[in-house]
Amino acid sequence: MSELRFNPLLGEWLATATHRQDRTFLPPPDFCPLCPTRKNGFPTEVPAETYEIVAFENRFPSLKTVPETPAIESGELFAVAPSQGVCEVVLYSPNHSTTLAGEPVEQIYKLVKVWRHRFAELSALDFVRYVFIFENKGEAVGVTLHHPHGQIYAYPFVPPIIKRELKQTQKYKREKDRCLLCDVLDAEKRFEKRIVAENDSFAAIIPFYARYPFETHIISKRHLQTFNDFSEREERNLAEILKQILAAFDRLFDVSFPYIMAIHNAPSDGGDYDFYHFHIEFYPPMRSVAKLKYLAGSEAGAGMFINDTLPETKAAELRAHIAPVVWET
Amino acid sequence: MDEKIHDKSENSDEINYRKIILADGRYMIFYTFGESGEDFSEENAAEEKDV
Repeated sequence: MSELRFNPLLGEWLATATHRQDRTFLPPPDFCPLCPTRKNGFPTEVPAETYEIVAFENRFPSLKTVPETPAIESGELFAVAPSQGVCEVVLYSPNHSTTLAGEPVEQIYKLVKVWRHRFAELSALDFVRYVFIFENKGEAVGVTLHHPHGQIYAYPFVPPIIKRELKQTQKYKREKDRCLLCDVLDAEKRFEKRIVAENDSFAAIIPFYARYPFETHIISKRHLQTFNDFSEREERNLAEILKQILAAFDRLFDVSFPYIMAIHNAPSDGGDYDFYHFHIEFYPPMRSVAKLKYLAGSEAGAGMFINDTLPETKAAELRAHIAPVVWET
Repeated sequence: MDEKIHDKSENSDEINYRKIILADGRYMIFYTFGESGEDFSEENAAEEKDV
């Protein structure tokens, strides 16, 4: 059973999804539901002996195209709504043991194309207001299935963090008649010390305002709002810089680096968001090889992050592990 | 099984996809690229698993 409940104190929606308690939790590799169904093997969720990239509706979705009627009645104070939307899983590779960082850049390039296609398709649904593409990687961030995959949530509303970004970027545009992230990129170019990697189309920075020690943002150099605005060149360059950053993450402590990857496009509600700027944010919880950053009182209770490291220092550490990308094909 | 095939195989960078409907009504989209060929067998395609 799932439904949307409105929090009147914060002015935002949340979903309850009790059926998600039954979802598969860290199965052994031989019983991975996201692997291909091998001949005479365990029947997985994917009816194919192999695949390149697959996208499908989540078996345990928080949002559904045809949602159930909420079990609780909606009222003036406690508003409830059907949890309409789409939850998709995107399988990056048929290889259970790989990660996006370990994949060749050609595979990441294919994934970027799939993201663009999914974004366009889901954006066109009349009940969708925001398409959120993301990845949870590693048990440290709560992953329940190790097979390399990401997710897409198509919400019936613009979610809170995006709303705040829209408010800030629109305010900046009104006051300065310029784009906030365009100015951030210009400033970082002049400062240099927080740039981790860049190419013709994207720059990766640990931002001045990083909340996690290795929080990294990939920002398009061209002022564009969504995947729909990408050129083929930008697709390739995004794949390259993703490969560089993800591989560098793994080299930092010589471990498969946990992170949350959040792709921030402009909303898909038909509005004019020319003040918004496409970017990707990574929230890695590792502070050092043996320490994780937890969201404790100040962060979870008051929304104020404490970063006990300096972005400039961490950018230098991450930049030292950036390597050139080689395209095999 | 309901199957829709979208092939744009002229350009090796073009995206191709095949959408199927699983037994429980969920859709699943298999993406292939360029000349990489079929990504699952017709035999498997016919066996719509109850997932």
